[in-house]
Amino acid sequence: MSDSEHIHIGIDIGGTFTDCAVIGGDGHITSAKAPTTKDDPSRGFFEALELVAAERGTRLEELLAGAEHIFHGTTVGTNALLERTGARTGVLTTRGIGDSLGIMRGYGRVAGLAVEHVMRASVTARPEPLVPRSLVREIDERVDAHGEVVVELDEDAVATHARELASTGVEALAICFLWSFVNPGHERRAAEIVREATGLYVSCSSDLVPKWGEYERLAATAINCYVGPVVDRYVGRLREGLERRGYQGRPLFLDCRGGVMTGERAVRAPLLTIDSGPAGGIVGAARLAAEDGAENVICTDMGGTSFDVGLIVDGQPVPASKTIVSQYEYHVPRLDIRSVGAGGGSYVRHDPLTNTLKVGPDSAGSDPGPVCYGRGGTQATITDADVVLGYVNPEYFLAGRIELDLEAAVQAFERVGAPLGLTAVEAAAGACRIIDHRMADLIRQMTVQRGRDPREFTVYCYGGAGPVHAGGYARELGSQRVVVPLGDASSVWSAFGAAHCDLRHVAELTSMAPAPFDERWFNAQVAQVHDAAVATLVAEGAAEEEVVVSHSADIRYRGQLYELAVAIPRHPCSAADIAGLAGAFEARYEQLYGVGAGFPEAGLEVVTFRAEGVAAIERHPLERAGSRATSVAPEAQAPPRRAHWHELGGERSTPVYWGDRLAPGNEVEGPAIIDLPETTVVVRPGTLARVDDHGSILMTV
Amino acid sequence: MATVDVRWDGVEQAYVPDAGWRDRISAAVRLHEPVAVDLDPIDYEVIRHNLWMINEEHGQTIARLSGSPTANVAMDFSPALYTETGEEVFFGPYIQHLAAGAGSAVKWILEHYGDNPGIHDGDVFLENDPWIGCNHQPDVGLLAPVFVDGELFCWIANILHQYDLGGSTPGSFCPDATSVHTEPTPTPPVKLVEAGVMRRDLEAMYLRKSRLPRLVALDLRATVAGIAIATERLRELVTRYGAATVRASIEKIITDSEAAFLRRIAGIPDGTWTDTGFLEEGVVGDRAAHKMVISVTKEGQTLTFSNAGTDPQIAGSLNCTFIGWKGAIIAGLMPVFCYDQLFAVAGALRHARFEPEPGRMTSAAWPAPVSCSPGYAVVATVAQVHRLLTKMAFASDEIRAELSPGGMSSWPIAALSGVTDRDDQFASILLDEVGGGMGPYPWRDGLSVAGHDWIPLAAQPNIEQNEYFFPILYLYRKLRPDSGGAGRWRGGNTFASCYIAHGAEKVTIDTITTGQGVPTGLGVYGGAPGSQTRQTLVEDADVRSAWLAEGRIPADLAEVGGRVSRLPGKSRDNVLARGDGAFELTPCAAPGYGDPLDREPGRVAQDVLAGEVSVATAGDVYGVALDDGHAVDEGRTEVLRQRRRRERIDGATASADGGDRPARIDSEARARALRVHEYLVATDADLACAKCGYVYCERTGNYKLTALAGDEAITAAGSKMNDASDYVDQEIVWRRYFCPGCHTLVETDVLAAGDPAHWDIRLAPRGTQ
Repeated sequence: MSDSEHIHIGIDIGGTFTDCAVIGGDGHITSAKAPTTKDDPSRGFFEALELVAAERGTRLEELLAGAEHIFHGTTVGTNALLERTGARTGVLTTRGIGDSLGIMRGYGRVAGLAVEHVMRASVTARPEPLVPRSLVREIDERVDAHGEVVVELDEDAVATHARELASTGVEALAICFLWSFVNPGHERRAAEIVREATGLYVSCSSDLVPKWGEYERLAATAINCYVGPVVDRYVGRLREGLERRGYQGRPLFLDCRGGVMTGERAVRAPLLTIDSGPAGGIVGAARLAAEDGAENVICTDMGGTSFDVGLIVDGQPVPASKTIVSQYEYHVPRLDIRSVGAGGGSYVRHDPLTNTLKVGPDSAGSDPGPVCYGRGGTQATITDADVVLGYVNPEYFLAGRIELDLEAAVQAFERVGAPLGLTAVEAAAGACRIIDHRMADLIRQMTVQRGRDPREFTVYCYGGAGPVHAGGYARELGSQRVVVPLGDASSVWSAFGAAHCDLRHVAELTSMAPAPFDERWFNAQVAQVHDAAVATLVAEGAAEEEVVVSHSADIRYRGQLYELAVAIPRHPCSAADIAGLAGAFEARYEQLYGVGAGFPEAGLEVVTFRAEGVAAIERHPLERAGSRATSVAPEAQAPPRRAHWHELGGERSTPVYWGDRLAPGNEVEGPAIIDLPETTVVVRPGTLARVDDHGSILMTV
Repeated sequence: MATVDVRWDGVEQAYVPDAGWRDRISAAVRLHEPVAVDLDPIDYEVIRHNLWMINEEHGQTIARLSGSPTANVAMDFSPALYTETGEEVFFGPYIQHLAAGAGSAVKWILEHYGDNPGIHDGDVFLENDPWIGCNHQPDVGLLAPVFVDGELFCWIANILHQYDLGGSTPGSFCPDATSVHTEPTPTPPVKLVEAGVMRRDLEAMYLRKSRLPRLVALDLRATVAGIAIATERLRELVTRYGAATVRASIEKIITDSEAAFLRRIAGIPDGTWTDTGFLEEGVVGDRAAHKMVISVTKEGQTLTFSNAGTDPQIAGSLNCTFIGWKGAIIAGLMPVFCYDQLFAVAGALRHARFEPEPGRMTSAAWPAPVSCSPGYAVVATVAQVHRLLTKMAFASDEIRAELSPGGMSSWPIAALSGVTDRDDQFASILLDEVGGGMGPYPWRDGLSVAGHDWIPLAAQPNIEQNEYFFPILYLYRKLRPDSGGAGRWRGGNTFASCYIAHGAEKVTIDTITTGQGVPTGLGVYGGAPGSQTRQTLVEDADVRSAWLAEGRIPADLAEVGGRVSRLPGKSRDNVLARGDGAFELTPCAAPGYGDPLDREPGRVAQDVLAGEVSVATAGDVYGVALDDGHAVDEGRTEVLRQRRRRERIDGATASADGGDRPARIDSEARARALRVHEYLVATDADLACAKCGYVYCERTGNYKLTALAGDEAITAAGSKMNDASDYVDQEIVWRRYFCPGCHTLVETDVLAAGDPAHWDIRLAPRGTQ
């Protein structure tokens, strides 16, 4: 297959750059970065496409003509939410609970905050409300825990409130009634009435998140409505722009579970686009890990403001169900990605009270950015430390697009170090050690909680600052293998990953019952989610026989609150299959919590049924080098730099390599630095780095 | 008075380590003493973070392994790290007042068990003795000495609330107990795990107490696993950095916190501050108000806490031991002094002394009943300490912004029990109270239904969670406007939960509550008390057929009709029958801060728009007139406020004159003087109004005696207040003190009619510090 046919394009919009990765029909990868255009992100989207086309020596229209798929991770929903620029949203809910969204279960003032913030109660506050109380309307209607209607729906009130809200400029209406996941009748009827009476954007909690817990359903539905009209307009603009430039297909949008969906679904459930970018990165890692035979991978993405970690266990990205965004919590299927405020922009300060060095959790972000950017930042950051230590080449940062002010960075660290009697270099090295440990602590927490040893994992590092620090945090963890995936492409990793997502839909339904489970009832619940998953994908163009569905159930001991997902072996299940779930649950429980930790006397109950449908998209094998070089070519050798190595007790003249001129098979022994156009790989002393056939840089610590 | 031989040894009186307790540690226990180490600041930062994460992993292990709502919703546990001699290093963001227990037990074990049964590597001690190491018997502590090279290096401990450990009442809160003998029997520390092996005999003895032995066994496994994981991680840290460096880092965590504490109290003048409150309904039918007094004396760098003036312990549910009282004080100290020190309270405690009087309600002697202490005496003390520190530390520029009179000040419990239509037994409590109103700060309002600063991460259960576990159907759970105390900064409003029986023939409700008559959440500097807890039962009203079947849901209990009763604090066997009646519980709200007439009118208007305050309260209490669009009418507001100022001093009188003092001090003198109160400054000689300069009295005096004072019924303090006389026999009044110069409402007291003003601020003479 030639390079210019069957092209797959991934585009991911980040805070500073819009990244684009193109995988040609022959598996060749090209990438480009354009500045993110906040006012209208579609401009950055097309600019990145223009740039990548130029990189490939072609025009945008030709590139699009050969494009088979375009995969897009968008942040317009996230931004609308974080910047409170979403739609004016109203809520219809059951009479008596209209305050729930505002009360946030009494803990919204601390939800998702770092512990340092949680402990200072005086400054904790709820977020700016998405929906003011005056736009929440209570409706007479009630369903009980068994799904029986206790109070009939007041249909007239629904219509009256909807019209009245619409007349005050409300654009979107969220509907969430008590126990609607058991009996969605009232919500669905209310949605019909609203649609008939108004032209509002409408979401029902029972369609979006049919799960236990009215606050989280309310939050999810309200957020979905809040960002819905914004995402709707954006998707429209994008499609129109692509069409105008001759793209015949339909763009696909990433979700936070690492799947893609059509524009229609993204507009219906824009909630799922929130946090989708990092999920793309995990999918990319899983794809490469599968080719490399790595079963267990810690995926680390160190950007400007945060350090994100996800896991791949036994070849599969690890899912989660809880999202906290802007202090609102909701439960949708997603990949488990956790974050700490540890990025290139994290501030480094001297704390006069304790006379120690403190790093983060706040960050200079991209504005003003690190001191060395020369954009007005005066407070030292981790990126400044990387420059001071000689790791990052001030003249070749982001392929020379930004010239860094080394002197200013040194001065900033002199100021930080002076009260401690540390030189600028010592202070910078200290700051890096602190942040490397913090990142290692997060990773350890995530793996240990799953009953896993981080040393069994390969560490993938991507994002601008990842390859600089990975050697440090991997050593802290005791991990022996570190991979900078596909070399320079690691800097557009989320875009690369996006281009590897499959059409996916996870259907969930909470339906609680104690064991033993009735076979017919059990299979009927599974059938509901199974059929929903298949129908959704078929509606998006997948052939029914292509859809692969896996099923699971969240089970727990009765009276307790921790659920574990247990795979349902087949659908429909035999009585023996269903009986076997208990054993699977208990085995998993003991794996996580230790032998004897279980509580079989309490009995089990099932909480949520889940069907995950996937319609795989055919991929091109990644390009592999045909030959291997034995020695590093002279033109790959850059002038050496003085760099600091705490392992060696100080500064050393350090060999530097042009990463894009290293060839597969080349080996580099640490200490060394590999400069790539978009990132820098720091090869720590005692580490051996090797370029593999894909161009990934493998470090053996 | 005859000298009584009072021994604070954990037998009759609670354990209070004396100055020489360390000398009594057996020579058989070799302590790892910290040595001076040239601590690398980077190593320190890494180790500090690591120690915190170890404690977090400890806590998360417990929460996950236990899996119980107690641990996961109410966060009713505490993992902790102590030094080799029991100094408090880290607790984590769980229930903060549990913190005193394990540290006390560690010291007690060191003082008593060094030789027999010995303290060795791999041992874990278990205890639930409120006179030694916990708030009440369901709080079970595990304490593990960690040895490095044969020396006792530190202690890793946890406390977790258990479902049931016996006693008269399921759940082991025993409101009817008149002595500890009908409550769960306290267990002093026993060596449950010996050299890494759990002793079957002791485990069997422990589990035998419980109505739910299997669940208690599961929780025991969770807490033992938590200790094991934390110990392992700590050993890894010591292996890597060396014992001396890790111990030096722990020391620095404490001394950093100590330095912060000392800097924060440096601006505070010497003196004594006192808070007086009341608890009621110790047993069914008790209609007395029982006094709780706490004072702190600041002298130089030392804070001394006393409960002198507190009523004697009672044969009922209102007591706590010294351990619970100290835990409440710690919970109050942490958010003020240690908010940026990861709550490492040991630094502050190095400068704190505790001088309890024997046998008082907040320092009960054995065999007083104490199983109900967390909901009453302990939580009420947490609120008292908030007020006490708000007054004491006002002069400290650095921490004034952290001061708050506190949020929910008692924890009402309505225990539900019965059998569902599906034949499942139920007997437990709802945890809606996790979302209480927060207290205000000197610069912001209290948040409504926003949790508690002493359980920072707990979340209110969803209605759907409660309706799944209990045969009830909620009619509403809503914000309760006007319930937070009025003030320049408003107290957070509380909520009201109302439900009917649904899915059972009947639901039996037992109330285990206090603070419905005399408010427990008292305002400061003129702020009003938060409304009291109220439990209302409606009978003879078929909500189901009259409302629900008709397609309507009542928005408030008042709409339902029927026979309405306000349930007393202690009552049993109230019945919510299928098709009859409804029950509403609204916990007490947070108090206010400052004179409500000083509140910016625009904030009142915002509150009205947000549904936090009613139009009536805006006019009556805040003197703010609003136009039809709820915007402030400035002209009418000015007139109304003048009228309110006049009205409120009508009949108010001073109980003493200021003697031979200047009438006023000028603004320059005020600016030079020390601000010791929202509305008071202290010069070397006098206490004067910060606003108008009116001189009340000598610096060391009680300004309330020369202020204009007027008594009102408790119901005058807010439209949602209960009538105290419905619950207690003594006449309780809300007394307001006004500046005679500018008529600002400067302070309030809640006290028995005719009692003299509480002397809450007693500054030492200038020059004694």
